Amino acid sequence: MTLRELDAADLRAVDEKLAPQTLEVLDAARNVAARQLTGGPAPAAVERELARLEAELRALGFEL
Amino acid sequence: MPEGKPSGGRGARFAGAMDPAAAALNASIHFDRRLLRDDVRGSQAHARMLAAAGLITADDAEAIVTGLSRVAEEIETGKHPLDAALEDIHMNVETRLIQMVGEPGRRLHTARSRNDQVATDLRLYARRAALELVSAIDRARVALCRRARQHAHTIMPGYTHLQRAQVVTLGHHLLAYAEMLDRDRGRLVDAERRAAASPLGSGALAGTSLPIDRAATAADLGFAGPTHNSLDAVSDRDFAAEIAFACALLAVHLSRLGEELVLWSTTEFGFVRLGEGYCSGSSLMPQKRNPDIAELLRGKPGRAIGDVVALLTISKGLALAYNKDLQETQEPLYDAIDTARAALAVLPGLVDTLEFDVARPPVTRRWARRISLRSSCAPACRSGAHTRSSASSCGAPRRRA
Repeated sequence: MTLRELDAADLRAVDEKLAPQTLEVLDAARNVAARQLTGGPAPAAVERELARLEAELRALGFEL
Repeated sequence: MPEGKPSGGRGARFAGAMDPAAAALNASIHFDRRLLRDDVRGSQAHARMLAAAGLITADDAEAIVTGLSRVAEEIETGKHPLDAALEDIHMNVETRLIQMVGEPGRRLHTARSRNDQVATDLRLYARRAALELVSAIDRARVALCRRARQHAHTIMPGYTHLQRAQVVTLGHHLLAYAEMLDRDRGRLVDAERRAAASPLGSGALAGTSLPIDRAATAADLGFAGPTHNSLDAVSDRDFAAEIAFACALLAVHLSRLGEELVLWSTTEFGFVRLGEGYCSGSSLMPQKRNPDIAELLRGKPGRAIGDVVALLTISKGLALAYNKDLQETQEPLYDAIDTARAALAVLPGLVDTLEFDVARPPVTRRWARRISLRSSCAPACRSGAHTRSSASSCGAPRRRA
């Protein structure tokens, strides 16, 4: 069973602050996407880092 | 010494041959043979300089330069076998040159000692090897970069204490290794640059009174210039220690990747399946798919670290200038380079053929929710709404959240 299969009562039984809409922010993709700081793990940050690295490697003559 | 028997580098001082056990201990041909190309190159530059300085004739220099190329070809193709009685590659090359071109060959060693000759050859070798490793590192970075591009959005667990900690992306994880390799690259480039000073002309320890042109040989051999102190030049092996250390740290970085691949490819993790070309099986347990190559990446640093320790220990406490102890610095340098080269050689293929199990529920969904739920911050704080590090968006101080 996953969290999304729990109803409101089940969630409240875990913690009174938990509600079905709380699950919206428990999404893993949303979680990691929020950490888009420089050097961070978010896809957006990874894309930026990749662009920098790819440019460096292309300048060295590599095809990517 | 019987007439016609090679004398190695002993000169005319000795009437008898070296004790066989002593000669065996003294010999380095079994490992310094890899300096052949560099020795020939160094000698050719030296001969050209001697001619330009008027110390030998242009005809002699031509005979030497041409003859050395032929000697190298003969040795490389196995046409001329190396003779252990001649101690090292330098004496093997020179002896064969004299056999081949006669009297001009005897003039090659004018204004030169084996001490500055060996130091020059070793630097040429080390610089070449360092740059080859840099290229190998770049190929590995390309492989990591490609896989990171494919998985920039793939979610995976990030760990601390090997316990699931926060959500990261696989691309981010792979780029961590690209970062390590970038630093390794920088260390090798830096070490190569520092090794680019030519010891040639420093003689045994105190140069020569002959009017040689050290700047000319340095330029001919691609060095930035001649070294500034003859005593240091013949006895310095810092460049070897630096390159060996760069190799050891590189191997340490690859060992971390090796360890992760070993873990990730277990049934327990199940994050990745290694390419068949990088696994072994078992005749007794046919279900096995052993991550041998990843394990070797993990194990290789052991010897590379040992090489660094050997190099430093051999160099420690040596009085100036040259001492025979320095001969013992060659094998650790070669081994560290070979170890790093072998590990880097497998990396692009290993990384290219990794099959990440991105659809596996524990990787992408169930576990992610669990660690989201268990994070120290209140659920509302995980929306990405944080604007300050000192407090969570729900208003609770971070230390209490």
